[in-house]
Amino acid sequence: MIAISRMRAILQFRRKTGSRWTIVANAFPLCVVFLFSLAHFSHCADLEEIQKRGVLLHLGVPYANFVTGSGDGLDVELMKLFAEHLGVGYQYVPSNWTDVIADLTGKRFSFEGESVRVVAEVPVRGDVIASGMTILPQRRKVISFGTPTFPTQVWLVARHDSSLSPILPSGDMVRDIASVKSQLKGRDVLGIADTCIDPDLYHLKDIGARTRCFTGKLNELAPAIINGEAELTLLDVADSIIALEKWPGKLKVIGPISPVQDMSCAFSPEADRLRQSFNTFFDQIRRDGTYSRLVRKYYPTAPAHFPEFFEK
Amino acid sequence: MKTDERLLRKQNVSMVLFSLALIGCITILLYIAYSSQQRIQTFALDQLRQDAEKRAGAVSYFYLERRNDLNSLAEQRALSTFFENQALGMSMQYGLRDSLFAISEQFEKLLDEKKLGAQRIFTRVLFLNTDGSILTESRAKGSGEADARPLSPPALGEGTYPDIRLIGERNETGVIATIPYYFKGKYVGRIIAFIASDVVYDYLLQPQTSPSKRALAVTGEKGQLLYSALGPAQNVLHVIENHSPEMISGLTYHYGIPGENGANKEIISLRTPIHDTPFYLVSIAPSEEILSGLTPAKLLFFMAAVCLLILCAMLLVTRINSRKFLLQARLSEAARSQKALEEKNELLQKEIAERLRAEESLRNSQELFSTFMSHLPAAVYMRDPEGRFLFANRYCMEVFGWEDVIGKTAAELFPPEQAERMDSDDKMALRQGKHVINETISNALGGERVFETRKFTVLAGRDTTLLGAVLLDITERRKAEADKQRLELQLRQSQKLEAIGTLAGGIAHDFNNILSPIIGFTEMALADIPRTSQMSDNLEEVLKAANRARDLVKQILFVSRYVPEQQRAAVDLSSVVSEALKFLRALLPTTIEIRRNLEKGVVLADVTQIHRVLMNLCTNAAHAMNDRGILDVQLSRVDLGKSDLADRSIVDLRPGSYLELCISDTGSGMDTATMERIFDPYFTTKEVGKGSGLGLAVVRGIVKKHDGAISVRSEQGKGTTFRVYLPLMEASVDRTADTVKALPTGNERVLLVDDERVVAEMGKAVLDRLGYRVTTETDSLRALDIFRSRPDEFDLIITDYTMPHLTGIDLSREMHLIRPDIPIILCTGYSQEVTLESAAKLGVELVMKPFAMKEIAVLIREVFRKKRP
Repeated sequence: MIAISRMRAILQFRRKTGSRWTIVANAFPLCVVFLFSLAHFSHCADLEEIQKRGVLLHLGVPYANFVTGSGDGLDVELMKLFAEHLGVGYQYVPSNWTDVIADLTGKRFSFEGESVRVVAEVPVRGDVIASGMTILPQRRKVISFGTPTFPTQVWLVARHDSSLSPILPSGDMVRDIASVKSQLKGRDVLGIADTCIDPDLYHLKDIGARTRCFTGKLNELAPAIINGEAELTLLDVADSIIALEKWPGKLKVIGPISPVQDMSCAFSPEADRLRQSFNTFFDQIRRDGTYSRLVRKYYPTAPAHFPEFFEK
Repeated sequence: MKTDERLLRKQNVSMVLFSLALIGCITILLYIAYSSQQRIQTFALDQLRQDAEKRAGAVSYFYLERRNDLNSLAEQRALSTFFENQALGMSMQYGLRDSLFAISEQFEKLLDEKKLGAQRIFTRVLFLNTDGSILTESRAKGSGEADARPLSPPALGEGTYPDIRLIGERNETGVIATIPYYFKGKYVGRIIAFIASDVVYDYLLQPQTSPSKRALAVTGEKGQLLYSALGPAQNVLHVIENHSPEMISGLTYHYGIPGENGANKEIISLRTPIHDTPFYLVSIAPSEEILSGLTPAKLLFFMAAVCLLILCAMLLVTRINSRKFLLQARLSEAARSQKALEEKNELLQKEIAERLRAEESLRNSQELFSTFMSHLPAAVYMRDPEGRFLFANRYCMEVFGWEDVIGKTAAELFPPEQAERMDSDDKMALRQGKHVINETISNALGGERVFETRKFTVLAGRDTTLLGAVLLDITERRKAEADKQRLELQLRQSQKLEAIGTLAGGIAHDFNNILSPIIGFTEMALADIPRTSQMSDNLEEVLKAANRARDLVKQILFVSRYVPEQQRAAVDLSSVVSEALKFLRALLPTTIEIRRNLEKGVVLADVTQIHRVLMNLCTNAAHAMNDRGILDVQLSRVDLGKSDLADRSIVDLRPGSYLELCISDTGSGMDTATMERIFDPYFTTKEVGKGSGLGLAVVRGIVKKHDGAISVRSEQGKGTTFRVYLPLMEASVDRTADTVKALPTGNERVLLVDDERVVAEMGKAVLDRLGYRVTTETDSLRALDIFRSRPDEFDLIITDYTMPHLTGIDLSREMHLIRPDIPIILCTGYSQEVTLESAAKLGVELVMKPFAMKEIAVLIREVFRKKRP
């Protein structure tokens, strides 16, 4: 309101004096104030504001059975229950893996090695990311994760006629990863940048693999290698299980590329109370068995895969 | 008795023969019963067999479905996926475990879905690798360790198809369904599903709910007991275990087992294979339940013993019957005699009843006859040949006033003359022996009665002939016949009078036409000459004679009763009576003297009707005097008060002044009874055909119509007096002589039409003399032409009625069509068709011919006066 009053005063002054430069000189501080007020609109909402607003904005990217894209999924149901727990309404906000962190934090980041740089500010579109997001060290620099909700691992998956053979498990995860990586020299490996299957995360170039970033969606990686776009691809466990079920005999799992990782919901670093509230909520549904029912619904074999996680 | 003994012998022989026949029949029956028992037992065993086969079929079908379950399971993609992934070298840790989870899911699905009622069919499903290790397995919750039996792959073999196996030994047997699994043509293991056999058999082989003692069991090939539903027959267990392996399917085996009370008990056992399985269904039933505890041989023996017993009993009965038969024969003889006696008694009773009915009928008939006779409206009597009355019915007694008639003769009941006549008639009837019919007049019911009598003979027995008579009172019939005859005479008289009237009418018309010119011209001549001349006197006489002739015509018309009824007018009754007496004088014989004493008096009367009253009363008086005596007619004024009216027995007059017309005769007079009825219509004392009986009734009617009264007094042998009272008027009758000079005149134009030329000329002369301008015409058609051509040249039309071509009525109607306002006077000497009323309706005036000059002069002026406004 102050800025608008100031603009009116300047216009009145110009009518009296008729000097253009005088107007620009007077308008500059007003523009700074105006931009500041815009920045105020792009800040992240914490628990009180969400409760005041009355709706929880769930940022989701269709991925495996976490967000199916058909209105359901493990994380969709989890967020609906969380909104119910907060006493607010639920709203799904579609996003993609490139923009989803910016949509949450209102900032677009550039990851260069260990450093992170804000390259742009964008409007905040949601309160929480829940879409099978893997907790990665790089991501921890810009967003906060809640209690791990689902274990995962990145596997190397090959077409059935690939000359690579699945490794024999040694009982040591590090040795198994090394065994897999040792076979990748000169091999084409597909991955998707800025995701948990980003080949750079696992330094595959360093070991001589020809990494290629796939431009399609995560769900389209398995069909891509079946169709011969590449010999190998990185897939997390969830996607691998679905792919093996869908195309039996067409794919084979060579072995792990990463250690066992965790997935969780991501929050803006400013929404700490919201994150704590989620953690409380999640503990509660784990205890009362609600979460187990959800997992069995969307990933029935997961408890068998990761008994140490789900039997906690 | 000898007959009875013969009968007895015959009966004994018959009995023996019957017994032999009975033995034959019993033998046949025994054979039939034996065969039937055999068939029943065979049927029962067949049923046992069928029941077992049906149950075994159900179990077999159940196992077939389970094999299908395993087939379906083996075709699941999860299995092939696993082996595909395994073939790709994937490790269990990295990828293969998920495929194994998919297989486990399918196993669990099978466990969950396949149920019998609420019970699971399968307790455990596993995949057994070829090396005997279990790849994966799923167990039903609560299945326990019962199915955790060791499995030996070599013992199971490879095979191709799913099958049902028995595993385990003795007390640890179990049933599995298994199917080998081949991946890309290589045997990689088999799926084994453990079946909860107890659940299955309980469901499919439900124990008998009926009190039957049958038992069921499922065994292995070697008699291993897998399942038993023995119910109360627990003691058959050893039979199943020990003997079932020896049993051949389809055959029944009989074994003895210890019963409940220690005695040996027979059971029937049957082993039925459960197809496509290694199992058998063993059915055990107590022999007594299937064979009713009686074998055919036992039955035969039992029935033969029964037959022998029956034969002995029959021989004993025959012996007893023989004695009984003799006794019965004697009793029958006695009963027959008694029955004959009873029949005779019954016949007698019937005859008595018949006779009583006949007597009753006779009595009824007599009563009916008596009732008939007592109600018969005819006199009936019977007399014996000696003339004594034997019977007379009630009507006869009442008519003749008898009280007791039986045994009396006619002389004791009738006057001598009548009795003599009756005896004579009756004897004649008896003598002739046929019907005699005649009419007799007898004193009965207080007067003379006419009877039609029918007499006839009645035969009573062979020699006695009686006289019967029926007397029918025909007095009323005879009277009715006399009345009818009199009415017929009256009708003939009436017709005769009508003919005379018609004749008189024609004569009157002609006479009037003749008299018209005579009177007219005489009147004109008298007017033209001095009244003192001898000629005038002579013409006066002519005129008087002509007037008398005119009156005579009127009287003829009165007599003929065709004078139209005239309106009542004030008349001097003395002149009317005088005129009538003149006429009567001419009618009555001269031996009757007519005396008169007439006082003048005016009454309002129809002259014609008064004339009729006088004629009737005077002719009656003459008749009563038998044409000899004095007829006295008096007319006098009387003032009658109430007492006078009472004295004269006059009830329908009011006190006032009356003119009394008294007509007396010196005839035979009347008795009171006659006097009371003389005014009744059709009452007459004259001989049949001489009087209508209407005369005095008409007279009284005319007098009443004139507001008067009539009374009669009579004394037998002295004569009768009738008195007629008519109300007296004070007005006087103008009877001054008319003269021509005093007549009204006029100068109007008159068209006079009359076919009689003389009458037309006379009329013209009279009208000319009265001052009118007259055109005469004798042809009615020409007259109409004249009027049609010049209707305005005439002021009055005077026309005769009776004319050829057009009558006066027709001419008047035509002229009124031409000129409706033209006044017309219609003249007639006599006509039945034209009356004052009909003329008035037509719009014309009527004048009777011959009319006097004064009459026509006055009428013409009256017509013009009416026409003027």
